[in-house]
Parts: sequence; structure tokens; C-alpha cells
Amino acid sequence: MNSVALKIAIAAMLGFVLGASAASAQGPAAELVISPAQINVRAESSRKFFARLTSGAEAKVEWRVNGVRGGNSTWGTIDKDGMFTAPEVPPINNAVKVEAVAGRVSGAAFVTLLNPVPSIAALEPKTLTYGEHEIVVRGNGFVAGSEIKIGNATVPTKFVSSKQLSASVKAAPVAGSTLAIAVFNPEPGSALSRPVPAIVESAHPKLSYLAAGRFLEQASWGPSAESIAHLQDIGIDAWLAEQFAARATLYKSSSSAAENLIDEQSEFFVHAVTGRDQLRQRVAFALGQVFVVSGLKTGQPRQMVPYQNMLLEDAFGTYTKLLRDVTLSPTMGVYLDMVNDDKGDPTLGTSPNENYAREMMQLFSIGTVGLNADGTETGKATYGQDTITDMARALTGWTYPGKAITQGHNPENFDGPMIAVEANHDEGRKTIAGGVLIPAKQSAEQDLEGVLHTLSTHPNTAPFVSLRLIQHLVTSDPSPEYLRRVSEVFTSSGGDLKAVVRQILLDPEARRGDDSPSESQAKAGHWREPVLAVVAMMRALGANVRADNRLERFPTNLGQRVFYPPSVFNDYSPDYRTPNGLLAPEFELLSSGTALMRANVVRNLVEKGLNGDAPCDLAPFVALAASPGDMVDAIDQALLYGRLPGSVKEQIVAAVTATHDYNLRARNAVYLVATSALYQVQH
Amino acid sequence: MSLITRRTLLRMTARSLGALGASACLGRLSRVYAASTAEVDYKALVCIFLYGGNDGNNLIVPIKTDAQSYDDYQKVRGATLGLQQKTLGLVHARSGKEVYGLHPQLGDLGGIYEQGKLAFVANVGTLTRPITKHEYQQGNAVPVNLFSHSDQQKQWQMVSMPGAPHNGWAGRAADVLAALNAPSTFPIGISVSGNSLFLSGDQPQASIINGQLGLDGSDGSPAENARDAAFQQILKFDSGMALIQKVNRVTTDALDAARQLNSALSMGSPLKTEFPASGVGEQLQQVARIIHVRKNLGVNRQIFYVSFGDFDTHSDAMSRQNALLGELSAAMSAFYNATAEMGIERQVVTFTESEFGRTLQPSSGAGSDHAWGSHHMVMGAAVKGGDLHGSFPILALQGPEDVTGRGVWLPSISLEQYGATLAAWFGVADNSLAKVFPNLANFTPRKLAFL
Repeated sequence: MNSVALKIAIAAMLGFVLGASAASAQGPAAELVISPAQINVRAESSRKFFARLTSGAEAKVEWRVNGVRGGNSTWGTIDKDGMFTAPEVPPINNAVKVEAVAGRVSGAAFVTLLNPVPSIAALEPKTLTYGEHEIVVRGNGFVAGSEIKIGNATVPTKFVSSKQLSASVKAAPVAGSTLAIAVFNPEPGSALSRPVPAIVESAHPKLSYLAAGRFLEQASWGPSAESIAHLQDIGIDAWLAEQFAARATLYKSSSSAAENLIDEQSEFFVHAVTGRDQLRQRVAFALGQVFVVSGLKTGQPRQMVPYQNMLLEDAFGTYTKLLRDVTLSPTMGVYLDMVNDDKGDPTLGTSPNENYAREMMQLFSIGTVGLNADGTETGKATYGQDTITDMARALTGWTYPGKAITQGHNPENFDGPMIAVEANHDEGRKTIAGGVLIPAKQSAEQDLEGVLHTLSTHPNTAPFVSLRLIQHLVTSDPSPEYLRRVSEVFTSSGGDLKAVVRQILLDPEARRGDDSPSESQAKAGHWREPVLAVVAMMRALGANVRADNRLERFPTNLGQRVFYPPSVFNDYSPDYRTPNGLLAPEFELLSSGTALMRANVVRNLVEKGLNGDAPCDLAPFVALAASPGDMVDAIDQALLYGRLPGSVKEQIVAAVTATHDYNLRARNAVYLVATSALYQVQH
Repeated sequence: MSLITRRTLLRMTARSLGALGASACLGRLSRVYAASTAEVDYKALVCIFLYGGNDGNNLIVPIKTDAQSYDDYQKVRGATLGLQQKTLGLVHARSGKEVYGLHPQLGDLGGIYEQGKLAFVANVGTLTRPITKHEYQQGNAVPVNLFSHSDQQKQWQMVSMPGAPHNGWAGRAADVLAALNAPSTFPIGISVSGNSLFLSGDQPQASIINGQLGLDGSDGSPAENARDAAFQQILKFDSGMALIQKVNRVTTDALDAARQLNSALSMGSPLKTEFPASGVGEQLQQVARIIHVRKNLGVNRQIFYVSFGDFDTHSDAMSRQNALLGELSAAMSAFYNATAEMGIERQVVTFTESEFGRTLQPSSGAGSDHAWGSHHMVMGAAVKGGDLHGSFPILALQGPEDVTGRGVWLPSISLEQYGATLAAWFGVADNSLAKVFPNLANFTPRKLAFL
């Protein structure tokens, strides 16, 4: 080419470039309308743009992104038809301009590029044992700033690719045994993936989760995630050894004579929810429903505290020691009138008070009807009025602890056992229970020893006491064989309560149902008494109990007021049967009122944390709420150890899907499981 | 127990209504009930159980009767248990021929007695057939575990029927009369004191706690409606486990009763009669409120159970009984006034029960021990009031009625006669009384004269 042609060509090129600039500088941009005019587009997704002339005619345009024809991999590409595809990763400056050019007219749209919405396809591993682990999260839409969330917590995350992340996770026991794993993408366009559940479990469980849950329902105030993990870790024998060795959580001693046990009631709940001596507390609580004193008559801290502490300390001792400590407790002495109960005075026309003598036999040892070791009745009465009168005489002469005196009475003092004043003791001969003769001229202590020995070794006592402990811990209506096995341990061990409790818990009848729910017998279990129902929920849901709580109000409304049973017959009777003949002591508290009130208590727990006294963190469930099925599964684990029937689960899932508020989903699902009789009847 | 004001109760019921969605069908139902209910046919029994064993010897004291006087009483009761004569409220009985003194705290009830609307029934106790003192000493037909609280409380509430050992006599009476309330499905038996053995029967009883029967209210949102619907669905799941099924049945019945009661109460206007703020006062106020809306419930017969205590005064008896009888008198008289306000004082009978009386002779500790026959009160305008019914025991140790030497009275009236009189008035036909009281045929007369 000669130089003239080259000059023309260059001029033409320049003219083209200049002409184009001139055209864009001069031409009205509004003549070419791009739609959409403004839009967010997530990474790797596509959006079609349309260009029209204001006259309405289609335009044949050239598409550009940030001035580059067809775009590029940094800012996104756009094809000749206007289909824009966002880049894999939004650039730092994530606002890009999509332009359509037709000759001298052009139009633009503004696009904000956003991170993708992450999604998880798989977790490795899917179940996590307690402890630290590397987990790998596979899925789509991950970016360099993606963070793995475990529940509400974020963990340092390693970006491997848009399809893989990994992190180090510390798996600890959590209510529901399920961690919600999600991925959070940062701005621009931050988004959280749907959660995927990761089961957390024991590495080398000595027993199954279901077995551990059932056992702890019987042997503690109710399982918590931590207590199940610990039990699975060490096994039942080691757990029992720990519990038998654990020191009692005692009430703070008090010399107060105010008729008010509010502090002690608060302590009760703190101890129950957080104390380590769970089995001891549970057994002491059961014993307190047999050897009853009530705040309605002995409602001063200086009275109630020593008595409750005595039950805690004697819970793993022998029955005889317990019976002795109860008999000589000044608090019991006031409650059933044995303190300062002197021998009869013919001139004054008084006789010894029969209250303690009667209840000691009727309620604390042998009962009114003869019993075989398996609890079946012999058909003979155990004692008559004459026996009561003579027992009352045998128990005369005890006064408050204090100075050793030879006559009269000591002033009120509730620290330590009562002491004898021989001048007040009836030294005549007596015929006590079992036809046992107490000779004349014995001291008060000797007579007491005779009474204690007789009652401890009476054939009724083993089944009588064993039945009550079984009813409180395991089941309302044990089979005669179960009761006999426990009675025999009572007898052969000399009334060793540790041995009795061990047999109760390890007996095959108690353990039936550990392997599968279908094994449970039709009549098994017992309705959780009000205190147990409230405390068990608090433990299962990880509630934080306030030291100054007034939690006793809740079981009180359900018929059980802590420290204040209505009479020496407790809040309910061991031989209560329903009109249909079902032996179910706690059902004495089941009425149309309490059945509905129980649901109201559950509702207060999930909505208000029992008026703020025991806030429950439902976060582990809220974190799963985007997938209601997974959330209900976790709640099932926490409360029923996996036994929630499929149809009930479906009903709950359908009900909670009525809202998109995840907190509400969690609350309502917990409510529906916890109010169901499947939970309220421990089985 | 906190004071439940009228406003509190209505507020609670209004909130409950939303969740239960009762209002839509209520209009229809109340029209049906109005057609079948005749005001004149309504009757209610109200049992007040004094648990622990009230010392009837200090409820009503002979001052001057044919057989004895105040001195006989005072001689045995002495300083620790004897009420001073000048503190007693004097009343006449036996056509004015005898004078008795009422416990100083019974002032209000003494007034109702003088109006002829309250009667005392003397020496009532558990018996399966009449026995003599001699037979007692032989052990013939003596009630089993006569001095045991739990056994005797059960007997007073249940009057054990062979073949139906877990039903209460009021529950059995309710079963006999169930047809009188048709087509209403609301329970005849209502306890304001938790579950009662008294009302146990084939029909369920309703029980009310702290003035509330029902689930806490709903805000009517889709989420709460779905939750409440699921709650009811889950009640139907058959687990095959007896205890679970029982809880579900009771809860289902409870929801049904709650629905009916709360909508009935929300339609009532408040009663004007003031009630005292004691436990028994609040319970009787609750009873009055429910009676007040009987037409909305569509019922012709209701039996209520109220209870309080602790009357088991083994020690410190005087001051403890003083406090309790003061509460009882104020509450019962307010209740009578409420029935008068409603114009149905002839249609409501209130009566006391207690598992036993107490020994005339004191025991150490300024109290007394468990005994047997005791005196009770029956109140209502239909009662042959202003009189003492039955045979008053001779207040002497080793006296003709004393079976143990400590002043334990062989009853002159059996619990079954007492109950049959109440049940017959209530509507149980003579030939159905045996379904309620198994041993009634052993006694004469089967029905007493106080109603």
C-alpha cells in the first residue's frame, strides 16, 4: 500500500474512533432503553437484558460490560442476545455497567454483583464424636470469605474451592445432640445456606443414647445433653459408683424461726437442676415423700433445713439409721407430736400422743396390711389399736436436744437428735408390732432400739419401702417379681439403701425399653410428678436457674408444693388407683385442671423461661428451624431419645411450618413434644 | 392461694375463647339448652370436706339438755380443750327444749341456723351396719382401719362399693342422674379442689385450679392456631401404653369441659355477694360463679367438691380450730348469701364431711387423737334448719357411746344414711339409692329428717 492509502486508512480508523466518541458524546443515551435498568445478580447466575429504542422498535445492539464488548471473566460476560452471566466471584468493585450500543445511540444498566447463595450438599463426617474434628463441607456457591457456622457460632473456615470448605469443629454435648451446620457468605449479598444437621455422639458409648436417657430419667432429675454423654462415656456401674460417692448438696444451715421457706425452695431447684449428686437428691426426694414432714406445721428454716439435710445424708445409708434419725428428729417430733410427749398422767387424764406411733407403722415401715415379699397381701392386718397405744408408750420421754436433764423438757432446738428424759418415759411393759414384747424397766433408748429393730426386720418393711422407692424412681405398678427381687435385696443387705437402689435401677424390668421402645410394657412407667416434670424439662433444655428463683409456684399449681405436702400422707398416695383400677399414685394429681395447667407451665417455660427464673436457650433448635423435620428430630432426641412416633412428628412439622419465624417454630415444636403424654409419662 | 378477682377470671376466660373458637357454635347450643332446662328443676349439692378430722365436740356443745349439761363437757375437756361457756353462741334445738352452744367462730352460721336454714346432724360416722359397743369390742363389723386418715377419708368420699371400688358416692349419684343433664355434656361433678375421690365415677369430673380451667389464651395467629390444633391431634395418638392413654383421655375431656365452662362464664354477669379471701372462701366463690351460669352450661344437676384443712389437731387444737372454723363460717355464710342473690337458696344444699371426729379426752400437747362419730352441718333453705338432728352422744368417758374410754363415739347415724338423705333430695330415686350406698338397707330409717 502506498503512503496515501495508509493515511486514508488511518484517517478512517481515527474517524471511526472519533466518530464513535463524537456520536456518544452527542447522542442522547435515553434513546436506547435497557431493561432492567438496575439489578442485583448473584455469581454465576444469568440475567437477560433487553434493549429498545424509545420509539419502541427493537435495536440491533452490541452488548458491553464495563466497556468491554461481550464482557470478560472479571466483570461478567454478555452474549449477543443480551444474556448476562455474572462472574464466578464478584470483583472488589462489584458495580458494573452493562451497555447496549447501536451506532451513535447507547443505553446502560447498572448491575450489582453479589456473592452466590451457598448450599451444602454433604458433610464429612456426617456424625461427629465429642471432641475436635476437621469437617469438610461440600456444596456450591462458596467464596473466599465463606464462614462455616455451627449453630450460632462461626468457626475459622478454610476455603478450598467454590465447592468445598473445611474447618476445625469442637463438638460438645448439646441439647438435641444435633449441630446445625451452615455456610454464611459475606457481603456483597450475604446469605446463609440452609442448615444441614450433624449428629454429635459419644465415640465409644458403653450404652445406647436411648438406654442412657431412660436410665437418667430414673436415676437423676432428668437427663441433660452433658449427663447423657458422661453416662455413655463411663457406663452405668462407674456412674453409680460416682453417684454413691458424691457428697450431698446440703441446704444452707439456718437458725431462722420465720414461717417462711422461700430461700430453701429456691435452693431446692438450684440443687436439682445443677447439683452433681443427682441420684442422692432423687432418692432423698422420694424418701421425703414417705417420711413426710410439712411446712404447714414445721415451716421454719431451722426446722426444715436439718430434716431435709438428714434425708440427703441418709439416702445411701441403712434403713434402720434413717428410721432412727427420722424418729429422733426434733422436726418430726413437732410434726407428729413425739417431742415432749410424756408418759400418761392419770391425775391429769392425759395419755401419750399416738400420732407418731401410728404413722411410724402405717406410713414409715410396715403399713396396715400384711405383705409378702412380692407385695401381695396376706389378708391379715399388721396391727390394731392396742399396738398403737403400746408403741406410743414405748416412744415417750424424748425432748429437744440440749442439756442432759432429769425432768421437764428442754427448750426448742432443732439441731441434732432428741434426747431422753427417763422420768418422762413410760417404763411399763408393752406389746409392740409383730407381737414383740418390750419388757418393763427399760430406758427410752432401749425401748427405741426395740421398736427400730422390730420395724426394720418386720417382713412387711422390705416390700413396703421397696415398692415406694420403685414407684418414685421407675414405675407405678411394678410386677410382683420385680418387687420381690428388690425386697430380697433389702432383706439380705440389712436394709442397705444403696443396694436397694442399685437393684431397682439395674433390674431387667427397669431396663426394659432400653433397646427399643416397642419393648416397653403396656403399664410401664409413671406420670412425672409436678416437681419432676418441671425440673426434668429444665435439665433437658439446658435452663439457667436463677439463685433467687420462685420456681416452686409452678409445681404448686400442678398440685405439689415443695416442702408443703397437705398432710403426712404426702401429695398423693402410693396406693392411689384410677377409677379403672390402674395403680398410678401420681394420677391422684391428674385432673382436668392440672392436665391443662401442665401445658400452660410448658408454655411459660418456652415463652418466658418460667417467668424469667429459668431461661432456656432454644438456639440449637432455632438453628435447625429452616428444616423443620431436622429440628423436630433434634427435639425428639432431647426429650424422647428418638422415640417420637412418625405420625406425631409429621403433625408437629406441619404445625410449625405455619410460621416463618424460626424462634416461634422452635418454641412451638418444643411445646408440642413436651406437653404430649409421651413426654409427661416417663417410660 | 392468691385472690382471684372477678375481673381476673373474666380476663382469663376471654383470652381462652379465642383459641377455642367456641363463640360460633355457642348461640345454637344455648338455644337448645334453654328449651330443655326448667329453672325450677335445678339442684346442686356442695360438699365441704374438712380434712384431718374436725373436732366436732367443739363445733356444738350441750349447754342444757335432757341428758347432760355444759359441766359434763367441761369436766372431760378441761382447760386445754374446753371452750369457755361464755364464749359460745347459744342456740335452741329439739323444739326449743334444749340449749346448745356453738363454737365462738360460728357467729355467721349461727345466724343462718336461727333463720332455719342450717341444721346440725349429730354423731355421724362410717358403719356398714348398726353395731353395739359390745360388738365393737368383739371386733364385729367395725370399719377397717377406723382411725387411719387415708382409709377414712376414702370411706367418707367413696363409701366403698364392692365391684366399683374406685368410685366416689357422689360420682355414683352423678352417674345415676346423668340423664337429667342431657343433652349437655358438661360434667355433673366439679371439684374446685383438685382431683377428688368423691366425684370419681364413670362420668369424668371437672376440676378447677386457682380459678382457671383451660389452656392459656391464644393470640389467634396462624402459628398459634396451628399449634393448638396439633396439640389436640396429638392427644389422639394411640401409644398402646395405659398411662399415656389415660393422660390423653383426661386432657381431651378437660379441653371439652374448659371450652364449655369458659364460654358459659364469659356470658355471665358478676355476682354482687362478697366472699372472704381465704382458701375455702375462694373455692366457694368459684362454686357460686359456676352455679350462676348453670343455664349457659345447660345443666340441671351439679355436685361440687370443696376441701380445706388441716383439721388434724393433735396439738395446739384450740387456736388452730379457731382459725379454721372462722374461715369456714365466713365462707359458708357468704355462699348462702350468694344462693339467695341468685334466688335459688332452696335449690342448693351445702354439707360438711370429715374423716372422723376426735377424742373427747385431750392428749398431751393440748390436742386430741382420732376418734369416730362426729357432728356435721347441712345448710340451705330446703333444709329443716334451726335444729339438731340425730342422737347426741353422752359426753362422758366410758359413757354409753364411748367405745375406747377416751371419748370415741359409736355413730348413731351412718354416713350412708346421711348421704342417702342428701342424694334423695338431689333426685336419686328410692329404688336407686342402693346403687349409690351399698349398705343402706341395713339401716333404719334410710333417709333422715333434715331434708
